[in-house]
Amino acid sequence: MSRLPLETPAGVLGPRATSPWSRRAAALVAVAGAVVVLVPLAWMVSTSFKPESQVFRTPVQWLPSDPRPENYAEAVSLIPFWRYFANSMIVAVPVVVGTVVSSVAVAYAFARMRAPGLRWLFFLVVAGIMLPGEVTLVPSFLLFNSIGWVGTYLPLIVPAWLGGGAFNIFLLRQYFLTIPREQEEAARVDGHGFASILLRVIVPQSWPAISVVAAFQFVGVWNDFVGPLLYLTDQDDYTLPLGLAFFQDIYSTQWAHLMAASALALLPCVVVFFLAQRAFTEGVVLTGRR
Amino acid sequence: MKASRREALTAYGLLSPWIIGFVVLSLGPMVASAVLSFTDYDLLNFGATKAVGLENYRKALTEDPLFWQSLRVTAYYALLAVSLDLVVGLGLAMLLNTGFKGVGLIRTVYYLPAVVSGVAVSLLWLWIFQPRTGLANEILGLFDLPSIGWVYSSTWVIPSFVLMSLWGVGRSAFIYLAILQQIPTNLYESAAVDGAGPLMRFRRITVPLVTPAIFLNLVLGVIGNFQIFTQGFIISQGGPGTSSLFYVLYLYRNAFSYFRVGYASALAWLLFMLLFALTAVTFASSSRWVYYEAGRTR
Amino acid sequence: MAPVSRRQLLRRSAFLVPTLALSPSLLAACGSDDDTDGATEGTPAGGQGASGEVGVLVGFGTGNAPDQIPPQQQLADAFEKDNPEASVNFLRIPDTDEAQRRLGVLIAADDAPEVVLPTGVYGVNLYVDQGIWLDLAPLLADAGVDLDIYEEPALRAAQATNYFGENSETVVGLPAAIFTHTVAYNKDLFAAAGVEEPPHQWDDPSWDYDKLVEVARQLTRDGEGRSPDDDGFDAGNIVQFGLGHWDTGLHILGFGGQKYDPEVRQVRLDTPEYIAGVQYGADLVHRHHVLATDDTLTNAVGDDPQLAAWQSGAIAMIDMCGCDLATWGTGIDFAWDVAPWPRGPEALVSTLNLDVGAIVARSDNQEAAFELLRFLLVEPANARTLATKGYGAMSPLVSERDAFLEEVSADFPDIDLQLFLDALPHSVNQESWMPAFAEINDMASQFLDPVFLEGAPAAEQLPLFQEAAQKAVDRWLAENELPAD
Repeated sequence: MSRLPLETPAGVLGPRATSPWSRRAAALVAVAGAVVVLVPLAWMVSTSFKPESQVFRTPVQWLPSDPRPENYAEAVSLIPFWRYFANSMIVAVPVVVGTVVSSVAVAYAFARMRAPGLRWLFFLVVAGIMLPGEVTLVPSFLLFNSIGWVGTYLPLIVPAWLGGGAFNIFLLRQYFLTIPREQEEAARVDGHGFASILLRVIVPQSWPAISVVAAFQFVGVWNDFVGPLLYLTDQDDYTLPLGLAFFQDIYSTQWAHLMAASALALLPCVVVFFLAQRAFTEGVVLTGRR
Repeated sequence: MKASRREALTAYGLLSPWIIGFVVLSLGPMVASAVLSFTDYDLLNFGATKAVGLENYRKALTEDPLFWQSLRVTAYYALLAVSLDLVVGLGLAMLLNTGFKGVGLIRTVYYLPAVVSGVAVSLLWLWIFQPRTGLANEILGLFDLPSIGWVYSSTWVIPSFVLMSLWGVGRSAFIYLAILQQIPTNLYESAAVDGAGPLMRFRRITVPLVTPAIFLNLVLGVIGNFQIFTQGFIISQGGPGTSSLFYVLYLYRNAFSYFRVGYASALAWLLFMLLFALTAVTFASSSRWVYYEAGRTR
Repeated sequence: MAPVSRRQLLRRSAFLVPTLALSPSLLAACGSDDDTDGATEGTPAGGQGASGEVGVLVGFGTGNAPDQIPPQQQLADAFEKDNPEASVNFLRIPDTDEAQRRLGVLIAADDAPEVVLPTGVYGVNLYVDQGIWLDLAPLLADAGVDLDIYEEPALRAAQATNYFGENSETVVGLPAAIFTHTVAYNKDLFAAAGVEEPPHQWDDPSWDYDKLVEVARQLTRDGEGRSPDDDGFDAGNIVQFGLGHWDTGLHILGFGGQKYDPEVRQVRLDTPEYIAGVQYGADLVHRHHVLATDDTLTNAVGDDPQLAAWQSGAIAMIDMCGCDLATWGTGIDFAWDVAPWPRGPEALVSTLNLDVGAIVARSDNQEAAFELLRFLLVEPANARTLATKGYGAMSPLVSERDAFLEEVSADFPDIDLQLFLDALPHSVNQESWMPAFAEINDMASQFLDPVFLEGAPAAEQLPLFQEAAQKAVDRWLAENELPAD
């Protein structure tokens, strides 16, 4: 019954093996990789401060000699940036909530309950994403058009509440399956029903997976380009990715403004991810699994 | 008996939103496309649609060299991308699971490629793959390796796209990371006490415990990578020649440039059947190598 | 997110120019308020007055840049003021491929927008055999609009005669803006190499394809300062190119090649003329080493390596579209000017790009749609505003010929802009319709990439292309009918 140093989760080789030395080595490798990963972001930010005529000058000036912060003010006024930002939030928040709620419920049923046909139904969940969307696009559009949803946010939001998508269901199911059953059995003996067990036993232990689902879904819907372009009609309803595309014209893209607006658009995703990854460590601390 | 019936009812109650969504939003359009695959439906002239039986399927399988070419290219890409993603994703996750200071920030950074604007990333890759001055060939030069044409070469365009896909490996790493959090630390401790070395602990504890996540990434990776579209569409437009004519790109062209939705639907269902078979095999084999609740049984 | 642009990384030679629209400036404003004053004042209400909603799809390549939207809206407001019963609804799809998909889906859903504006000739021809465009000729006749108001090459390109027949009166798009091309050259590089600058008159007999190669070779340099004419020239390390951003497809026309003969409905990709034209273009890369390709350039940062190379003085001559003046003509600190395209063995040709406005045949409110098109594209003041504000487009209206120089000359005082106007009689649109239009366009990369990227002989590849293309054409003809049949 030893109390574990939970603040330091199991490393590559287990907590004991993560000696200061090997931890430093891991940090070094991870940081080196991170620098490589950061290059496009650095380029984006650097470009966003350049005058348009300097954007593609060689060699690349990573620190613009003559930074132009006005690009940001101009970018948010050239397109109705904050309106699109708000529209994106109006879509993203209900989508994320709906995804989490419905995929947790569905995944729980698949992971823990016994009922005839469940195995087949689960295979059907996965089968649902095997058909390229290009050929269901027209029928789907006809469907939403016939019920008058084209030109509204409903085709973008409602599907998230109906299952939450194969990826999320699958991910949560896999995660739930790795949770030992002892606590549930104890709770059942205490007279708790399925709903109560889900909320009191499963969910509290699953914050790492739930936060992955929420963060992935947020980024996915925040950056979704095709869906809004297919279903939205009024320019005033457009979301940010569509707004950013207005800067791109086939022969005269305004790169500096585009990058400034893109950098701003990126911020919510960064915040969401930073918050999500915190659940990884804290989730363990909170549940204090023994 | 009574309890099990109630459990079944509860299960279906929880599943009902998905069932409704599946039947209305997925099944309807899927059935519609299945029906259309037996017709010569032309996107802009629904009125002239005729049933053609199995003709579209016959044409794809026996007459259309681009069907086979696109399938070959796509399978090659998917094989490389899925296997690399599994290996590198798990490695990265274990790296990020060590508790060094500032790991939270680094983890966030690794997910950024999925978040950063597609435009900035595409531009950057063009620059990296530029044969004369790009970073990729500079690195090869350091090791005295000959320069290659990357996306400009019919031989290297697919490996180039695989490298690009690796950029987004943070996504899979996050999934492994979530599962790695589940591993009770005392497992490692007691193994260490029993004298298991690092490699042994990796093979006997880490790998079995992450098999549920490997299974997930394998199944979804195969399905997703067989439907790769964007890179071929934006960066190489299927070229050089047809060396990056991905299956869904070819399908898209049939549907929205040549307006042959009937034929495109048949192509889609052929891919569906292939993915269905691959996934079914993976599912069937999973009971042999995927360990759930491993923490409990030990 | 939005695709990076329609830029092709593999800059294959244009067999057809795969862009749906080509004007960066169409419907663009200079930013000053008086841009549209002429429009609102100078235009009487069109005819009997339109009513109902008119949907306008804007999204084929251009028309959605932030500075392009207000003048469009102002013109729409002016139209609504003249026609109080009518309203104009813009459907803005800021991505060409998505716009193409959305239009297809909307037509399939029987919910199509009335007007597509702008679309290039490629866009017109992509859909024309699907019967989705309304024939505007009867409406124009009823409204008393004489087609002589348009520049002839523009009108011809909008008539899709390969499809409707050489003598057809059908008009499926009203010209909105035209673009001609010249050759822009870096005067400093010519001076440094001691090479005489090209002539400044179209159809100068001394300026032909042979001369182009000769000059381009003199202007190409490897890292040691040698030209391809010198011993020891290193083709793997070229730092300055004679040519770049080049339309090699145009040489096919210069050699007399034609991709398709509508009379006999045969593809003509393996004629000696066609093969010679393709080989000439490939030789610029593989034999003469004078033409920059994206993979051979050293200044490759950014969306377009060729643009970066031109701007940094590493390319001596480029194809200059009027639509490129804003990007390729600015941000450079060397002296430059434009010259005509050289003459080919069989013809003197330059490229014509054209944007049109078209009406979707299966939309609801075609009458009002026509009134709107007439308001925007026939009323001279409005048409002039739409076409020429911004950079580099010419008005397709004969009466507005002077507009191009008036709009652009202040920004390019040292450039021989008259050459863009004089190009018109020699300008040919390369996007003409043929059966299986989009499919054969896609095949081009399959069969021509080996020629342009890997140096395969044109004489080997083109018969294969011919065979595949003819097969597609025959199949199309078996399944479809031409209007003349």
